[in-house]
Amino acid sequence: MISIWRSWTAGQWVLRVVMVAGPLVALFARTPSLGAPPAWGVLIVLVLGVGWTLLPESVVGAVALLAVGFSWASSDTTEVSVWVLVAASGLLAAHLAALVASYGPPRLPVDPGVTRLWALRGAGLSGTAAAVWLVARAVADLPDSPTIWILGLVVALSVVVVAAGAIQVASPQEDR
Amino acid sequence: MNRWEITPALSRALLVSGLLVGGAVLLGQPALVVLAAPFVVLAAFALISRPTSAPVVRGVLDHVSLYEGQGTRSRLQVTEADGVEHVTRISAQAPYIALHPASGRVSGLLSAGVPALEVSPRRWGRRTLGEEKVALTSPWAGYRWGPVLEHGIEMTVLPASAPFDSAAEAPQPLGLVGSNRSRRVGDGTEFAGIRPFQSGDRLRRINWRVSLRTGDLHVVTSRGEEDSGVLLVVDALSDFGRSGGVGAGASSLDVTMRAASALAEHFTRNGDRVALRVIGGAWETVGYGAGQRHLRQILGRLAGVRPARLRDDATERLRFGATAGTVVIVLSPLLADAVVTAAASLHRRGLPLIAVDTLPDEAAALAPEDTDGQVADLAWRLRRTEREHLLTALARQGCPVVQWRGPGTLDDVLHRLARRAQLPQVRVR
Repeated sequence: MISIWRSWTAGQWVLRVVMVAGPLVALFARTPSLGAPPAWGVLIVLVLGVGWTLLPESVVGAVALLAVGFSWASSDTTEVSVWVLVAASGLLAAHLAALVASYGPPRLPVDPGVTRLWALRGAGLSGTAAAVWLVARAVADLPDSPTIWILGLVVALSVVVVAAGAIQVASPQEDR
Repeated sequence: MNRWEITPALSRALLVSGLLVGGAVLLGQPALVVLAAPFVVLAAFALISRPTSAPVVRGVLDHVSLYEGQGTRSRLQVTEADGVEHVTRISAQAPYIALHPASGRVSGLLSAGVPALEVSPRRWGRRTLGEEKVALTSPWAGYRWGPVLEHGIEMTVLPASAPFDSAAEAPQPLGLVGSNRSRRVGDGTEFAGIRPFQSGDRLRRINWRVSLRTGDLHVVTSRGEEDSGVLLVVDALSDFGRSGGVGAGASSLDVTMRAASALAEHFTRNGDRVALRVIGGAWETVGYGAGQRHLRQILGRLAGVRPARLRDDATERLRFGATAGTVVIVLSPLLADAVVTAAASLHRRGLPLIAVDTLPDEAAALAPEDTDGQVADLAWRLRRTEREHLLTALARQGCPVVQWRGPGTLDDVLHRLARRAQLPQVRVR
């Protein structure tokens, strides 16, 4: 395993650090509103993060992100804290770091142009989380608000995914 | 894999966003929707950006013929590249090919141009670049094409000319027009003598001072200037020592090829006619010729040389095609009987012949790995002893042998051969 680590370039090391740190940041971001995460939870996320750095294209990454995500659902409160934006940014940063890392093998130098492009895209995608958070705050005082806005957002997101899928089906590619 | 495949990153985004949104609905947790929102948008953009083209990639080199140590760029031509955002190239390492970056891995955005690999061959010969894997990625990293395998491109690596220069003239120039001073009187610039005027002499050659003093017309005569034939005989029967490429340790064949390249360049530059004979399995030959085009032909033929033994019956049938007046230069580590015999027979014909010893001091035979080191060492010492006998035999025949040492290697020997050429000789035909 040490030989694998040694083969990473400096850029790949930075990406791997983000892949481990992102889920941990997202996990600890719940502390102000929901309390500190349990030690075993931190350990699991840490182990999953390290495993993800070794296999950036494996399902381990999705498990790590989902584990952190559902740690935010382990409370009865439906209040949407501002810290959830930090968590969303942490998870997104880890995902994008793994995405850039999976452009090639670990010894591939990270292209600065690619890093800039995905940093800009990441900032834009974080903006969508902020927009959703603002909507959530706006409808928080409405009666039965959680159910209403969740259903609304789910419908909106489903429309996006279905539309994307429809475009994909409408332009089938030929196998070569 | 020649089709667009969904990337693990898009799969992960779809899985995370789907489960978080589903969890939000089931558990009534708005926070999960906030967490899922970036992944949903990212997945949507990636799905929308699915390419429909079928890219074609082809590797090209800026230069396919180089001298060893020179560099060029390996480029990738991507056609039908609609919907391609990112290119990754992974090149395998190949012997005596240096890459920059050294890992042979480059990537970048297609909008900034397909990333190029810098390539530098480190040893002469026909070199093939390592196979390359190319992967193309769509915008938002949703789909990947490949990796597809690109076979390595072959390049001709000409031997770098070792530093060489010579001020010596050819011993027996016997040609048409050249720069070597001939023994014959002709229309050159080198003073030969003064003689009485004869019918047909040019008036501008009259020496008026002598004519007035003697009372008869006298003219100045000069030596003709002729080109010379130079035959380079290269021993490619085997290669001794370990080659580290240009700038590193040299094997016997490295020294031979670089010396042959330097000599061919030198004599071609002087206007002499140069020919090449390669003693080896393929028996490569290049006829007499002059000029840059001919030099390129010789270097190209040298680049194609591979060490190989002659058939047993081929040794006696070696024909060098050396005519009178040709300077024969045999470049060899002088470890093979066939080469020494050929050199001796050419020398007996009265041709000015120089044997250039190209065996590096540190050279040793490369024994198979499972060979006992002591046995290999003993065998090599025996070979060296045999070589001493061959060198002694050559010296006894009066054939000059010089160690290749770059500039001035041949000067002394050529001067001696020129002096010897003035003497009457008995030739064996």
